[in-house]
Amino acid sequence: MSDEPLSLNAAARSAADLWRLNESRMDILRAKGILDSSLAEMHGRSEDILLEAARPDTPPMRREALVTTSFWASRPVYQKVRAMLDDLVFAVLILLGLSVPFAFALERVLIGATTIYKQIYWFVIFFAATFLILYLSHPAFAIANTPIIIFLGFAIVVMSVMVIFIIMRKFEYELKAIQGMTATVHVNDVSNLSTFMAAMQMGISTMRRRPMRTALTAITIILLTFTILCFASFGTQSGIVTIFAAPNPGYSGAFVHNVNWNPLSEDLQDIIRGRWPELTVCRRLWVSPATQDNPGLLMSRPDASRPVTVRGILGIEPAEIARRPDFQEHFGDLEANTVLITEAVAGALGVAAGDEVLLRGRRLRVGRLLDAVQISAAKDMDMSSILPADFTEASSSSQPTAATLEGNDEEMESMSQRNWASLPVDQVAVVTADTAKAIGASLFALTVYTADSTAAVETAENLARILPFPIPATRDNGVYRHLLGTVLKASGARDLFFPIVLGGLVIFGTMLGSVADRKKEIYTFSALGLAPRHVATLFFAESMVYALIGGLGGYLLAQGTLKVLGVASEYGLLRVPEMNMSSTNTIATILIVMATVLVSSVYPAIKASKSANPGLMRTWRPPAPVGDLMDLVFPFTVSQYDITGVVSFLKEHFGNHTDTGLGQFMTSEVKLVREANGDLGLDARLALAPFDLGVSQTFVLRSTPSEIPGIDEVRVLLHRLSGQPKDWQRLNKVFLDDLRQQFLIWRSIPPETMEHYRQQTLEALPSLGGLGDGRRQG
Amino acid sequence: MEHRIDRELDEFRRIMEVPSTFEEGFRWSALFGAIFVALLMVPGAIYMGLLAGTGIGSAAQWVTVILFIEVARRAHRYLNRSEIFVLFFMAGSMMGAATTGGLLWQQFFAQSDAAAANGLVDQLPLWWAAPIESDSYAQRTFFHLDWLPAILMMVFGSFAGQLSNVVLGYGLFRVASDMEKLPFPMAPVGAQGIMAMAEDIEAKDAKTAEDSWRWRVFAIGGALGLAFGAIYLFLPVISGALTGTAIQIFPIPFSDFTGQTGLYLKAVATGISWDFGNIITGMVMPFYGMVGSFIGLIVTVVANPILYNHGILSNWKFGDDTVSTLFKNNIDFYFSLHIGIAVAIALAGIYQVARSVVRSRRTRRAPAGGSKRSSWKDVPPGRGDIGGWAILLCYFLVTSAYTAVSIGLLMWHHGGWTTDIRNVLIVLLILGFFYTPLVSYVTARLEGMVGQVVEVPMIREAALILSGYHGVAVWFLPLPIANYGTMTVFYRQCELTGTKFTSIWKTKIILFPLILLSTIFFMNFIWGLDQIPSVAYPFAQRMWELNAANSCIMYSATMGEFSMFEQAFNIVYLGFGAVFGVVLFGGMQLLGAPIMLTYGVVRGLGQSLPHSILPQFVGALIGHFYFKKRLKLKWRQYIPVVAAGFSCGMGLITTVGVGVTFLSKAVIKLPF
Repeated sequence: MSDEPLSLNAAARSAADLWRLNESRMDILRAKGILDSSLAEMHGRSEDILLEAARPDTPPMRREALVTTSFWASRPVYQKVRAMLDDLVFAVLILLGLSVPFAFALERVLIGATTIYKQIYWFVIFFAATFLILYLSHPAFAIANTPIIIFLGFAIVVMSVMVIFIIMRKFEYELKAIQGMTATVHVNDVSNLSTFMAAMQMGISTMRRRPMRTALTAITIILLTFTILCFASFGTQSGIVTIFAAPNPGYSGAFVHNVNWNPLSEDLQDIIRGRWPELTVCRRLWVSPATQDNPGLLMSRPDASRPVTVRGILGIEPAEIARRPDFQEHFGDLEANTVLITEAVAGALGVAAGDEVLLRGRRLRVGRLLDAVQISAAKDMDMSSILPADFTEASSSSQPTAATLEGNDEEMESMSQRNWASLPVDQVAVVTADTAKAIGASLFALTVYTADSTAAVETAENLARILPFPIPATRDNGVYRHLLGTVLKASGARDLFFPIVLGGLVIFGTMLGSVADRKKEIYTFSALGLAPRHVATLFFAESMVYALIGGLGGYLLAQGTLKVLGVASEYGLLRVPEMNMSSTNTIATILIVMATVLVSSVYPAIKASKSANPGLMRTWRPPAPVGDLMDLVFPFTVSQYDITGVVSFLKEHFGNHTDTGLGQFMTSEVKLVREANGDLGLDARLALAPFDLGVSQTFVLRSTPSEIPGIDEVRVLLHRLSGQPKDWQRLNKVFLDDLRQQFLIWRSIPPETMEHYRQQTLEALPSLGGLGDGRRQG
Repeated sequence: MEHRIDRELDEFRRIMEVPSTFEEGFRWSALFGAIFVALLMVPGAIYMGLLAGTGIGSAAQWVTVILFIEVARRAHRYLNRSEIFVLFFMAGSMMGAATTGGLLWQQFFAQSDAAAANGLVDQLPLWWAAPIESDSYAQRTFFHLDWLPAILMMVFGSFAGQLSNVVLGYGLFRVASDMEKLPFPMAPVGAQGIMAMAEDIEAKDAKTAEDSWRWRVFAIGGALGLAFGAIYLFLPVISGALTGTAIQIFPIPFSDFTGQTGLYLKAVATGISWDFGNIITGMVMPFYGMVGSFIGLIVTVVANPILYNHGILSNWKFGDDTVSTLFKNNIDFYFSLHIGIAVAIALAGIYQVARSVVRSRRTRRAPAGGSKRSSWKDVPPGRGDIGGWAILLCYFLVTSAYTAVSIGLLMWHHGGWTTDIRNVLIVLLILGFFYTPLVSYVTARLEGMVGQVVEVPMIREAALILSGYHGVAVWFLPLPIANYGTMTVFYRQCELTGTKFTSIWKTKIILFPLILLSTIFFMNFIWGLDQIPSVAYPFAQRMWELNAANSCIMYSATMGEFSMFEQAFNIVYLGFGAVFGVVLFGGMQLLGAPIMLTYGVVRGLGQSLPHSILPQFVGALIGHFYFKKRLKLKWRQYIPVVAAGFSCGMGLITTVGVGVTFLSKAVIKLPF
């Protein structure tokens, strides 16, 4: 294209500018190998039109029409290219976000540095490498450099949140410290996060111990991602979509109107005529009230007597009547100064054919009276009534505008298939288009008449490319709606289903095998005190690493391959299909693969956690209460010697909860007791959190001899004092879990501390003196 | 009453004892910290500033320090308090350099509509911005020959500024802290935060949980800051970013009642600031200082209607809001009054210094008398001090260089010597050798006594306009005018954390080029991204043209047009201020009132922040009559740490808010 301004008029300027903007953006995409031939074709058409307009021998009217259609033709290109670019920028942000854990995982698996400095060092290297690859291959960086800065902003937010987390952790700790709950042994100081991190480190270290298996699994997932990406990355193609609308009418042509019957621009007719002078373009003008309170138009006899109100006016061009047999039949004698009305209206006015009437002050002759039934049944080619739509029937606010519908093919289609209520024929007067225009009607539709259906199809396709709504037109086998839309959708979920299932099964198998392989290891972990949940975390961590490495690794491989193929195709060695590896679609694919990897490790992780704790139920359930009493034997046995210490240990724990605030319960009246038969125990009153539920109970704990001599069972009796029974049961679950934890902690404290608690009991209940020892001997 | 003054001063001085040993703080950690800040924080801060208009300075400091401590801990290395202090200070000075508009503002101003409309574009000197016809504007790059003078001037300005700041600040510190033993009440706020970090590390080492109370208090302050910040700043920012309407539970920056109360209280700005930080500040500051401020506020509330009725505050109109009330009052009366009071403060300071010198001589003669004031040579060993002659020489050289460069530039700009230039020379000499030392010393004393900065508003503008210079070039000169008084607080913190002063100077020398390079580089990079201002930077887009217009009003004052500074400068009021100040100081001295009360009154008379004085006074009352009674001396130790934690928490939550806004507004979408 020449750089000379086409002309000084605004339309030409806008059309050329829009074309240039599209050109510069598509250039970036082309340079990065993102091709879309359908967009290029649309863009090319727009250029052709501009070139024709720039030709010196083009008549002014035609030039105007050409530049306007070029502008309209560039509009969908602009929207699609812009959406594509926005999509790329968004995609690269997610990729940058993913590259952080990716670099972390790579460092852990490949290097496994022992000091944090080396870890940071390698992390930075891997991150920089990933970033560099993205920077060189991803077009978003060519469009805008802002992703880097956005990423920096993101990093600052993440770091601030980390520091907030550090401070809040400290705050919580200090708050507990103020309550005196940290220094005691009663807190199992295991934060979920640190355990998770430890489990993750362990998972990764087992991966490092089996390099072959790890490498093969990682490669499998990388290839899987790669394959799925290739499936998913075929871009969509834009083109004319056709949808059957109705059987063929007795004429050929195309019908132009907004889907929601919004008025058309008056210039549209001129533009179509200017662009395709060989076509017959006929206007359809209406007056149709938009609101209920619109009184309509007044019609009366020439002396202004017997006024009648009609709500709508239909303006038809005589040329259209000449082209359509059905119109000739209904409106055959419509002339410039005639008005056609139904018999009912004529009756109300008291006029007959040939008489004069006043329609909005205009003197018109009444033509042949209309047959109400026939006119009501008369349809245009897309089966819409020829009568003006009744906008008062459909609340205008609920109707989407053409602008909001633009680009939404399905919505638009459903709109165009809706049946609009038309005004009753007895409330409509028919006049010629020119008369209607003079009365104040607006343009609502254009009918383009062609010589045959081939020309009709061509016209419809041309119009569909420039107008943002479907164009019904006659084809050989019926009327079809023509719409610029998506013709090829290769990235549908169905196509991806099987590769993903396949990949999921691969991971599933690998993980399951790994669980079987590592039974012994799991027992060791479990013996070392790793809870079943943490063993499961270990496997999750492993699969998370696979997901990260596989997901982003597969992506980088795909981008790299595309790059290589692109270079090869430049030398004519092969032909590369159009693939877009940079869009959000691709990102979604990566995320789906990663999610699949994680999901497929759920069962193996559960299995692993089960083998970590084969004998016990993973969560212990207290028995159902009888009335207000819950009587249960705790799933712990304590030696008769130890129980002397346990009661003091629990008393201290209860003592820490005499103040409300943190914690799951509040205690009062805590005291050690000894039954007459020598059984030791602990009594207390408890209120359970949340305290606003008002649940309180008495707590009685007794040691009772079990079947095995020297071993005591722990019996707990809870008696509800207040609160709803359901709340009471529910909250006790939490309380009993806490109590269970105390028993676990008891087993982990050093013998001298146990002895210290034992002494406390002995001091509190001096009558026990010698009892403990005696029991020990017993 | 003398003993009482000393008691409160002593109490503040005893919050933190100066450690017996001083350690080197400049290690590898500082260098890595600098690189971390330069690569991550600086560009983010510049960009966020353009986009949202909010700096992330203090939060960035804490983030850097806490993350570095955490990383070091994981490597089983423990940063000592000097290292933490250097890291903290380094991050602070880098962020300070990054948030200013700098070259980005210069390129914008040269192209702004305001500059063009005022006919300034052709008169802008080459050492400030490239000529408008330069193609660097089209290429959007500072790495262009046309920008070389501007960049060189920036380098010179920051180098000379940093040098004199560090050296003269040090000299003032020696006077105010070593010799006069002033308490520096705000110094522990920064220092205690760092001590909290250091103590936590040390506690992990030695398991001395009871001693590490500072972390606990810091964490409580931090949580308080986070909680309040979440409501005060985060909620409006987030709701504004996500829904378009900012939900403000507490009006920011304050609730303004001036419009309503103007009917009864003429020319008095009324309102209240809801920032909880004010209450905490009131608790930290010396109690009598806060009482004095409150008295000062009451005095203005009483005096302003009288001044208004006598036609002195003549510009005020009913309906004016806080900002315009304060601005008009300044122009009408307080601008001159403050210069006068500043002179009085300086006189009082000089009198006290002179008295202390005389006393120390007497003490030397009579060794039995135990005076608190010390001589110049009394310095703790191993602190890394330098001699007094070096300070004076450095200051003399820097000020002379400033003056010489400025006059040289003017001669270059005008092509020779003119009487205008001679006048400017006189002004520069007065500013450099009289005003700057004076205001710096006064500030050092105020910082030392009540933690306040004395600001004589618009002095630079007034001096340049009064010089009678014609043209705009003078506005862009590197002027030898600064306030080095604030640096004394910094040195006090340095001393309290046991950091050798030499590590500060090393840090400056090593980091200075890094700061400059990263700032210039990233400004260039960000300019390269897009036109500034443009739709991509909503804040700059909205505010910069307005700021440029305001600047033009000022610049045009030396172009022979009406200027409000001439109107504001009233020698009678100035004299009245000076007399008032002297009488106030003398009277208070005679009555034996606490010295902080006097400085507090001066602060309260200031027309800068009346809305925060009330909450600060409330904070002071709560602190003095409730917490201090309960916690005794510990209170004085606790509250600065709470304040440090609070500002850290507020800063962090604000950063998160700004960051989220930034991400939501960031140009994820193409603008067109």
